[in-house]
Amino acid sequence: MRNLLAFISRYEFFFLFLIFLVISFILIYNNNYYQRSRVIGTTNRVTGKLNLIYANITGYLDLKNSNEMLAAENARLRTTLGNMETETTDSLYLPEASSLNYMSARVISNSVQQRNNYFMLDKGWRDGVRKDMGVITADGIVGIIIDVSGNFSSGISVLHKDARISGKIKKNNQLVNISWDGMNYRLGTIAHIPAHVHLLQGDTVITSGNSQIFPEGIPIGTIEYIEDEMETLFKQGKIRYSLDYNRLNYVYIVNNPLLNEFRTLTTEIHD
Amino acid sequence: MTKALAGNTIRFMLLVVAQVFIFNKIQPTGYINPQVYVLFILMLPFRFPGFWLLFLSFLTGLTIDIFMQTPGLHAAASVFLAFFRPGVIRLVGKKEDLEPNDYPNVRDSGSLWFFSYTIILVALHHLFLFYLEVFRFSEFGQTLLKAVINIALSTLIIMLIQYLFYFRKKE
Repeated sequence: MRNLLAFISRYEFFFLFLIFLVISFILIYNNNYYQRSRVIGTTNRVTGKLNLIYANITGYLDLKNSNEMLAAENARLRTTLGNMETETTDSLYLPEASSLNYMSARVISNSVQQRNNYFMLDKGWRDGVRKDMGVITADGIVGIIIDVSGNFSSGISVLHKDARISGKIKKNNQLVNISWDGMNYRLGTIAHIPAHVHLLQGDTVITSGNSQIFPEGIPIGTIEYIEDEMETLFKQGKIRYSLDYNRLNYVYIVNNPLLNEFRTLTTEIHD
Repeated sequence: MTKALAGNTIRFMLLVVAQVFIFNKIQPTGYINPQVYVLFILMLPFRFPGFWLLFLSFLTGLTIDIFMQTPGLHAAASVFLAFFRPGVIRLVGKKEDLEPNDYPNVRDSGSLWFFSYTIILVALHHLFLFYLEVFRFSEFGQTLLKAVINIALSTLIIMLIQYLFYFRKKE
């Protein structure tokens, strides 16, 4: 026992280092985007305020109010438009099924140069934001909410190593998964496209709506190039995101009231 | 002692703010992301107790993590850097007659000494950080490129800060 203690005190620095490193790894391990700790939820309050101050300083003061009003109005219009479209085009529908709600929010913190990027919005659970809601703009998709505090919420960006966006090719409805390889923040990766699918540069990729997080038909990007995958019968390529993620300002948070029902059903099927 | 404490506290706050709101915002491509906050750990006094060196490094990393929403990532890399700091100081060559509050900087330690000290520790920190962030061997090459670019950039910015704020005071 004494030898052990002597050994530990001899290499005290090394053992302390190991302890701190292990704590860090535990933090990393416990804070995957889908199971975040409460700690981050509470720190959101502090960092959110600082980020808000920064966004206020850098934002153009004159444009701010008018932008906010326009964004809120757009959100309202989108909700009504969504309802009307289903009413007129579908004879069979569930009243709630169509009623995706949109609320506008401002991006107060955002990054594109990390391998895993996150963003923060100035709306929290007091405004009705919940985990797993999608975030979009009129021109493209931004990400998914993972953490909500009282007045702020944060989410994983499309530019994240775990982001898998379910999309489809607009012209032929072929499903593709879009991921990000961490290099150029303007380009996403698509892979495992069957060889028979005819694709051309410039083809539009839109959301499939399969995940129930994003509404169907929101643009994601256009195909930049397509090439054959090595030693398989599949094709792969890059898409150019329709959004410049470095210039996000006002966004919409999508609320699908039926998301939980959808989730429960899919888990039941898998069980 | 109080002066050293105040100096380090102000340095800590300024570097965290600069890292979060300046160096994490410059983004012409996905590659540029210098980690200048490590300067705080680099400039802790030479004769700093091991526990406090590791603890403050952990805390510095964690503060950056909270802003970047990457819990543990920068904390691990900073602790990694702190662990190698005493060894690197020995490697680069330590001065014999040290006052209790002496800390590494360009003015007292000399340009070449500080440059070697910085680039070795920044390299260790960045390689550890970027590989841990990716955690995939499939992206080995591009992660290395990103690390090398940012090692050069961080070292350059740290040297510039040194010349701007510490070199003039030479009497």
